[in-house]
Amino acid sequence: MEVLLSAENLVKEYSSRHFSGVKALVRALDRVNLAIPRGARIAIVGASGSGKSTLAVCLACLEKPSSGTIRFQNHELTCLSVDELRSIRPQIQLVFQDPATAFNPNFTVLEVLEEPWILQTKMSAEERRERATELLVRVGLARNILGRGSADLSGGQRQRLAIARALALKPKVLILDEALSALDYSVQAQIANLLLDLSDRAIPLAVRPAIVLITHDLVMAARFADEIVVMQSGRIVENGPVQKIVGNPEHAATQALLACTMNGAPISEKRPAV
Amino acid sequence: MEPLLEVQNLNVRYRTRAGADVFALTEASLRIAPGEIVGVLGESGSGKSTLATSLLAMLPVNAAIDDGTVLLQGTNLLKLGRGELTRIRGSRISLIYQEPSVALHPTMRVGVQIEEILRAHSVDSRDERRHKVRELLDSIFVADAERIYSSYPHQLSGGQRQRIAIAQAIACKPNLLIADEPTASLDPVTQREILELLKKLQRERNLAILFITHSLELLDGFADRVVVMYAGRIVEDSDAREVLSSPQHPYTQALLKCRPRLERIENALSDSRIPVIPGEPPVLSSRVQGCEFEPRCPERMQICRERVPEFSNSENGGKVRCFKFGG
Repeated sequence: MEVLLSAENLVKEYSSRHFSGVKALVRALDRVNLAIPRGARIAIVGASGSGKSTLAVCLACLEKPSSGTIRFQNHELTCLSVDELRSIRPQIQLVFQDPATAFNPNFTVLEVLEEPWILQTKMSAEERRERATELLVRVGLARNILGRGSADLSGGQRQRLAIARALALKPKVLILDEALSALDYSVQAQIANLLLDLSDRAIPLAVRPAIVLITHDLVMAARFADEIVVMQSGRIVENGPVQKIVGNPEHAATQALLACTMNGAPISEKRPAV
Repeated sequence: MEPLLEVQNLNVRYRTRAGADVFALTEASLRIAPGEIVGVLGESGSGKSTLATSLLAMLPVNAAIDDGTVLLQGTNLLKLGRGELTRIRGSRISLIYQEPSVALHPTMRVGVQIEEILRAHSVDSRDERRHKVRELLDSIFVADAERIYSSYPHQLSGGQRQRIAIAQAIACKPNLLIADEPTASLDPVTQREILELLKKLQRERNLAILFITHSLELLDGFADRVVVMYAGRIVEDSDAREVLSSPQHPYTQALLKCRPRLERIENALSDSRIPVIPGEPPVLSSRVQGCEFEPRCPERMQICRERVPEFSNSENGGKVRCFKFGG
């Protein structure tokens, strides 16, 4: 399948200044190679601090990697200028964990949804309104909430709205960074279904977005994705089809994650090896 | 067995700024035996945190307790004065929260923060306090207790900070620990470690734990009993294994179905969707006449709309609030 977005030898280092004055380099991503095919469903899993979120912001061009390349279709994103990136960014959209802080609380639902169009297109106000209504229907929200304040919505509704906004510019890649984690299980199931709908195999590849679900919940990752990528200490330690990762995990980090998420596994005195 | 804690018919309501009422907890009754781990399973707005805070009489000022008693070994906590409550909190009942980084003082060494609890509960000798904290840290951390004692919260990981919060909570040897989503902000490996620590404390100290969570797989193999809450009411109360393997209340059944299971992933690969609970939970600003789950219930009957069911005994020895079982 055609590779849409890929990372090669991606390294991201952050410098952290200790209060004693010692400067330390933290390597958040360490030579990461990843290929996201058109229309794919991919999950990136790993414990806290494994580099999942850094990978997300690098792929979405919100952070510049320290070295390595990111390719999107024919463009090498790592050497584009800010202006050139502006035309690429709409095609790679990011949804964050906490839907409560994702919007300007003073914005109505309509204002949230039309902002991307105001910034990126020359659409008329009427057209924006019409398209916003279409988006609401697409993510399973009621049409009549356009005038409601974004702060008045429930957690699940807000996460739907965040996904709707991310879809406004018809992205080719949708990255969700722990976008399900803060939600109740019954709401997680609804949002996961929405993601499955958006990337349904019946939708032609040309218009079907690739979805990258970043999570520490291996269960949801396995249920949603076709392929799972496991990260630890900034590296990809294992990746492959879901059946392989769940049924026959090779790396210790995958096995530890699996052991912790297995339903009904008795709690032992022994700490799982990480 | 004589219960350690007995909650009878507790009703809690919040008054919003607009002057409206939110009925957060309705007719909640619960018993916890000494050394028992009771899981409270519920989603946002189900009343589980209100239940936790009312057990310590720590409700916010806009809350009103309309009715009910909270008996700790026979003493009604809701009738106690502030001084008596302060003596009980920390020494007989403790609470840990979801976010340990908020619970800890950012510029105090964590060891000293644990000592503070001992001082508040009149361990007057400084050496004795220090000695006790060292012992406590040794039992809670696998290694490095010495370094952790003199660390600041920001130098510790999320899991270590939660361990410090637990150390604070158990420093004065309470009989009951209320844990309100203590692992929600941690990754799965650390989550397991914290659960193992709590289980160990339960065994070693005969500590009863009320474990509040929205995550049902955490309770599997951990809790002895599970109480399921929906829209401010307890709807099912049963042995943990029974609730998780053969849930009785239609809400519990629906909730369990919408969580995928790794064992069943293989069949799910066919582009199918996850079962969901249709609709949304009710707004609790007015009392509904019938069962709160009725509008979303796949097995609703005429009577469900007319009145609220009472608890009935289910086949697996638990209690269910549903007309299917009599009501």
